[in-house]
Amino acid sequence: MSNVKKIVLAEDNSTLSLLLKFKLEKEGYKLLVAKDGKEAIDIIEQHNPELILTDIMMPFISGLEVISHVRNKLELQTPIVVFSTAGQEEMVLKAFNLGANDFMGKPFSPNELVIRVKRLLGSS
Amino acid sequence: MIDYHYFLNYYYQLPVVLKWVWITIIVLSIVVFLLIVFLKLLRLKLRRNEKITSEYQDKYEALIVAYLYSDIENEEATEEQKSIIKKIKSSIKDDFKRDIIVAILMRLRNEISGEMADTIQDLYLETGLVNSAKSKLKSDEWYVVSKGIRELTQFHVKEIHTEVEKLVNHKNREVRKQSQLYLINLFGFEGLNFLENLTTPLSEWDQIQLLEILQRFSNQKISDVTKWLASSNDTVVSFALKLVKIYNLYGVKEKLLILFKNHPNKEVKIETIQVLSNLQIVEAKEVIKENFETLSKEEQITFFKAFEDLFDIEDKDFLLQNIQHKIFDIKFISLKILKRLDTPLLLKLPTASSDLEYTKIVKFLQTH
Repeated sequence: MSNVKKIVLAEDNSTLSLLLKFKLEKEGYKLLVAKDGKEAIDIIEQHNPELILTDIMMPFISGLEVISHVRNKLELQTPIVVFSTAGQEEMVLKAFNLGANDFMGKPFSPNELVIRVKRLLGSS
Repeated sequence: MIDYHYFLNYYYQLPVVLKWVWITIIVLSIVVFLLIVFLKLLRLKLRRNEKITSEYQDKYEALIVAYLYSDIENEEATEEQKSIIKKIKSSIKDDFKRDIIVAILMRLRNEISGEMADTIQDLYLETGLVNSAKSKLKSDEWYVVSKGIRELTQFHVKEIHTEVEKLVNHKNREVRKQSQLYLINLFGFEGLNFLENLTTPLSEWDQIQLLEILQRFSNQKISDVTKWLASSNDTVVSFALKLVKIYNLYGVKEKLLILFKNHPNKEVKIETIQVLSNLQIVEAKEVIKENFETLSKEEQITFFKAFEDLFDIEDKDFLLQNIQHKIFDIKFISLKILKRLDTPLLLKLPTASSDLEYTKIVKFLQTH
């Protein structure tokens, strides 16, 4: 069995997804990219990842619904980091109430994301 | 075999009205058929374009990400980076591809910060994309100019500011807005100098957007607003008043009083009264009281509402003069303030009066 930790990245900006995939794969993680919330839920159910990174605003199913699905329906305690933009403070609070573990405001530094991912996955 | 003579004979025998009905049906059927064909072709074309766009997008996304990760720590461009720049340079000759590349870079620039954002910026400059954005400023089409300014703002291209500054009075509102946003986003409070030359209106929405951007800057040292308070453009004065209020600019107290006394625009006067009250300039109360009778109904109400908490016992006579004012709001606020300042006096006020509103207010305040 592989020891590579799986991370689901739900983000509708394909360039950002590609960039983060590149960065995190370089750090030794396996990235599973979803372009919307619906795809993210399918991948989470199928692969049971160690970490979920999700944007708040996405087509079809929002990041909040993804968190709610993971915490209430799947009853998983997988760490979740949400990405938000300026003016989404209310949404971030809702995300925390639903069970998100951390958030990053856009624009963010990919290096900072790596540090947070390492912290949440318990490796240096 | 269909005998078309039968249809023709049938048609010729019909009354005129029915003939026209048939003609209309046939014409409409042809139009509907042509529209269906047209929509089908249009949909095919759009799908093909979408597919091509998506292919190019994937191609350029991969190139850009490869560039960004090529060697971020090295100041000199690597061979791989040079080759990517060359490829992008040759692609941007085609407007369609250029738009795709710019859209990718803009989306990334919005979402990424730190060293990588600087690298995106370098790529934008290195590939010469900046030159086509600059050339857009000379276009006759307003949307092209607007798009060019937005791009230059996004990529923080400061050296073009003199050209952008000339567009703050452009005939198109969107171009004006984008040029103003460029100046504020890139130069902060210094960028506000465009207000001196602004002859076109600055809408409330534009003002809110500019204020919102200004609040993001860590350096909150604001330029001198006195020249904007004296502007002949009323919307500039209104914006300057907002700056005075938000940044508590007590230093312009005298200018505010002059504005209150001399400005011909009622809206500006009302805003000035509100700002004077926000800054708690007590001297202003005396000046406004002296000119009270010359004020418009709205200005009088604004004065009473804004200065409600600043009235003191010295103002008792002025308040008593207004307890039977013809405007309900003024009457009510005067009596309310009197109750706060001197309750025994309010209790002694006669309740019988030909002014029914006054009687009701006094009775209410005496019992509540």
